[in-house]
Amino acid sequence: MPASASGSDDDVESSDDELASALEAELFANDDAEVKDVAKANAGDGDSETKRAREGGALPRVVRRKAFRVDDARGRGDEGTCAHPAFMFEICVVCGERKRDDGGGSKGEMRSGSGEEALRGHFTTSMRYIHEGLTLSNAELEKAKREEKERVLKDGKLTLILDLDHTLLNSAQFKELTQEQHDLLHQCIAQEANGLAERERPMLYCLRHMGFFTKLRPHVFEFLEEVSQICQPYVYTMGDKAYAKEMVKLIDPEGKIFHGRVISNNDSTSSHVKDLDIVLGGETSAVIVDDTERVWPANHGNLIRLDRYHFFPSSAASFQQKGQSVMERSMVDEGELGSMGARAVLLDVLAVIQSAHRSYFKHASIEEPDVRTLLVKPDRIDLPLSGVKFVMSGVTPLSDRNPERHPLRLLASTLGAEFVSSIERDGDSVTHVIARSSGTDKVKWAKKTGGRVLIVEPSWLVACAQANTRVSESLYPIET
Amino acid sequence: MFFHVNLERNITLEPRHFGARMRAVLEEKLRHEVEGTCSGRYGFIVMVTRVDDVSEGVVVDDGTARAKFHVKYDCVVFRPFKGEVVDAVVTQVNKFGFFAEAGPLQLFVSNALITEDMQFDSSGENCYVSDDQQIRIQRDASVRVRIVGMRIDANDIFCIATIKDDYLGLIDFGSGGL
Repeated sequence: MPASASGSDDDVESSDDELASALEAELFANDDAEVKDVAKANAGDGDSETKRAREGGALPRVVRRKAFRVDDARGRGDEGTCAHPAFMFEICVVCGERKRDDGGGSKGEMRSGSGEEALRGHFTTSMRYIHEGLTLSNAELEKAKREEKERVLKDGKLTLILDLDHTLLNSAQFKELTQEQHDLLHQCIAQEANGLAERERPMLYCLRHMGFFTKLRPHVFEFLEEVSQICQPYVYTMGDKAYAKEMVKLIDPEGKIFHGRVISNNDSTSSHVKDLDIVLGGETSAVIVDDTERVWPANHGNLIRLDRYHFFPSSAASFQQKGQSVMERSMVDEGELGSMGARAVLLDVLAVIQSAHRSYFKHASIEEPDVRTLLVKPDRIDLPLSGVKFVMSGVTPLSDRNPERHPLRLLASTLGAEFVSSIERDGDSVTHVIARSSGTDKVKWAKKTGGRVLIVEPSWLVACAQANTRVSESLYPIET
Repeated sequence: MFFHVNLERNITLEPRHFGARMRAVLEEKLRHEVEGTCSGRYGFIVMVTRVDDVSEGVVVDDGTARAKFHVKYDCVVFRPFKGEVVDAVVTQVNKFGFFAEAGPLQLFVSNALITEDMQFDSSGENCYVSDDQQIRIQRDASVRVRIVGMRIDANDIFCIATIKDDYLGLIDFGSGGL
């Protein structure tokens, strides 16, 4: 094996040790061209070199060795210059050169190298969630995103970004709960463990090592299972890495759904907002599911904004929704009987995603669709609910400032139905009222039209999405 | 590359060890402290082969009555070099390349340095597969790589490597060890 050492970035000072000096001569010969006499270096192990260094006294003759330069330039675009597409722990993954980092370079070990020009004005993005220490140049990131998008689309999938807290689950710290609540929760966990059928997973967890109770949102396993068939899912959370890892372990115990595609606060390019910039996929084929709108300022159009899931009282209180948590509502979870119209939100979201996926790939071979328009205004005539014009009553909360990102609104629009904002102005064209209960003004108004305007329950939309056709409205009357 | 070098270190011993077995304890402690560590200059210390010389113990004056010994020892070190060819075991594969370990040394082979006929495949376990499906680099596979770049820190070494050259690449499918 040739001792083809051509230098390193170590900057240890000289030593009195004979071997060390011989080694050092080997190690610190200039990176670019000057290496020790090949014949000498070729010979052998440390011992013989020590001897030679002793005999020779001074450093061996220095020669230029062209062969290694050629070797070294392998993988570079042109002879001698490397575009430095990516860095791993600050060294370029193609040429092995150190990243030029003004001010951050350690102890002057940055030597003027050939790559320096190429690095000027070179911006990089950290991709810590893929691997610790990985940074990509922006050009390479764009390329990776494009390739990944194509690959995912070829598999017939969309890219899906999921939030954790209040979306897929809800957590509370031990200290936020009273002793009675602690006892109650432990009782629930024990009860759940007893009632669990085979292969069924518990929904409520006590994570002692983290100091957390965590409750998964109803239907989360079903949701993830279905959604991973048609999407490449990511987790993108504001929580820290350890927390994200722990939570993903709960919702994806076998690691088959996310495959490490977990972006936590430490990985994001900004600490306050989330952005698709480090998600490998295109904006036209990405769907975001999150409970908070303002964290996605740049990707509003991709968002399905679902209702927050509050299981613990402290969680609801922190969002000024005191009394709205599941624990405060005598443990009646969403989608269960007696939940006062709180729907199994994840199933609604699933229907939206399935519907958007269907219309995306229906025409994907002819034109390149954009999820953002498909979610809001598909502009197609072949959708199941094309021609339907609807108003909603009591479906989205009045406090909601952007009801158009609500899953049920998006579900209706992905199916081709058109939303009408007021019955006063456009009442004549309205064909459906989607309502939760019968007492509202819009429902009363619809009843007066003598059957021209149909009144349906929100589940009708989900049924239409599942059947991909216009299901008979009479099957979904509202509760009276 | 492996070297056999002579190094020195100060070892501190507690008074309860000042007895007949003191030298044995000292050697044990030396091994425990240095084997497996990494220094930027010498690389990874793989094994202490001989304890050469132990100085007289000097009781330290911090009130603990511990004694400090200056120990010279021979050891085998593993110091990677740029251009060196090493065999390694793949530990992780992603779309940007794969990671491998050559003993204590972490290596990364980026997709730019993987031969063009191999494509990333994530349908099953992440892997790189050649066009003819014959060669598959996945976790636990053994590969032969050439080091093209190194990052040397005070106590860690990380290497960038390539398999884009003759006689480099997969050498074993991971059924056994190297």
